[in-house]
Amino acid sequence: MKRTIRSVARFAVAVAAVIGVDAAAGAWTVTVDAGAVYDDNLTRAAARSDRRDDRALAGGIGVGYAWLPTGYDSLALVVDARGGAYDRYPGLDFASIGATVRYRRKLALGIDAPWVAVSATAGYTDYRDDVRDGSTLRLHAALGRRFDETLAVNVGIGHDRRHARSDVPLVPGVSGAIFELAGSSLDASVEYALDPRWQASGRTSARRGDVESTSRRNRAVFVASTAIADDPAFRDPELFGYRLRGTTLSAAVSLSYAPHDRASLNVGYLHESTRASEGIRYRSRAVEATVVYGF
Amino acid sequence: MIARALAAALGFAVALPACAQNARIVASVRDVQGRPVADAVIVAVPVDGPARLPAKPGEVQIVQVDREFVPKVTVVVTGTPVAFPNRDEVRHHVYSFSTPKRFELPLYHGVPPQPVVFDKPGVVVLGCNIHDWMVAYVYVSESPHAAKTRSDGIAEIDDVPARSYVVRAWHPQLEGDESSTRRTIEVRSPRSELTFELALKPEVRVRRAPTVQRGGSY
Repeated sequence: MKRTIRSVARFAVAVAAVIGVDAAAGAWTVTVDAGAVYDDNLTRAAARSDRRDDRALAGGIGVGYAWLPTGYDSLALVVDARGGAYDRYPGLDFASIGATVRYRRKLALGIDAPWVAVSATAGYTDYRDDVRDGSTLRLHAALGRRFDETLAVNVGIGHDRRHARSDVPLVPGVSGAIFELAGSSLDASVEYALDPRWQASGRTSARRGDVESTSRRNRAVFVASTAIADDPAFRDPELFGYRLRGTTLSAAVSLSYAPHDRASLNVGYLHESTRASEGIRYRSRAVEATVVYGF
Repeated sequence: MIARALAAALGFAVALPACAQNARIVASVRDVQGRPVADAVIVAVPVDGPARLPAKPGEVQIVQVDREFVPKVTVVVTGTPVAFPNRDEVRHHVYSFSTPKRFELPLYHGVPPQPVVFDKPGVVVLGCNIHDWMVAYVYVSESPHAAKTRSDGIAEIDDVPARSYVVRAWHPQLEGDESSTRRTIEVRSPRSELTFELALKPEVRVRRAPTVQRGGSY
């Protein structure tokens, strides 16, 4: 955790030094959100009998400060605190704290000017189920453009790491750090404003890297796994956590309504599909409704 | 006797133009549903030649407050200097790509040292390079007889000399060309009224409200 925070801090200082930040030339942002989510495959299991679904309430607050060294550059630091509580599986209840540093440069003047951005996010999440506790680090670079007042697109490339605090091997000679994960991804998103109040958006990504899947013992998942451990969050002694290497394709769509310029009501749908070796394939779907308010 | 008659005749001659100068044009602007349209610009141009513009128009202000331009629509005559005071804590970067006035005020606090002079007639669209949702319009009129409608859809143009005018209407959401709204009226003292029915496009603007993509708008 300390290492990732140090990395983000170094990144922020380096970017600030390069662009010559004037500490007085910025703007505060505060955003709060609260919502409900339903996920039909929290275990990320391939077999239908191993899938566990649940609903959760989650919310958070993000406090940020953006420095504006020029009319084309911004350097933003956002600190996020989040929490969530599940209905049937309280082991998944979590509280997290994180920080994001993002540098964005517009390449020309005007709303349709393309932009580039790089960001680093570090965080720590504490779950009620300790095996999931750990820090995360995500690096992301993006290129985007708003074509007019209604349509904006961007593409990005990212790398993520999750460091697990728990490493209790279940099988001799096989790691127990099932949440020690790393992966790289490509993503693209589009936003389309139907009118000044309604906005539709879509996002898709492809990620190659480690994933965690919880399922009953079977030969395929055992052969494919690089780490195995108990996963007590689902309160089923027959379920174990496996770390696999796979490719995850995801697609998300959402619809957002802004009753005024400070708030939005959002509903979204996320579909994920992961393929790992040994023919393992699982899908998950989630729907969420969220209220966001910006001060 | 002759002197008195001459004095009376001279007094009448002086008084006549004074009466003729005090006409008022009252324009009512509605949309096709009959609702009043605010921020529509009404311009009256004399049929028999251009009206004389003020030699040195007074300075006008368009303020940036709460990350918006206020007012959203400003009517000025050609040659008017416009100042852009920034009353926000955050800096703004004001620009326009519009043909009548291209300019850029790089990131600033407070009031820029020099106002921007709008020296050609037409519509100038303003933006901020930091906050994409910020938009405002400066209507630069070639005639001094111009005004914008209030929230009740009424615009009043005072001190219009009584003669024939071509009157037209413009709005940021106007469907089609401004010239299609032209009509000729005979302005008579003390008041001439006319009504415009404008077909308006839906408002198009970058959305300001936050979304679930967390991290603020910067």
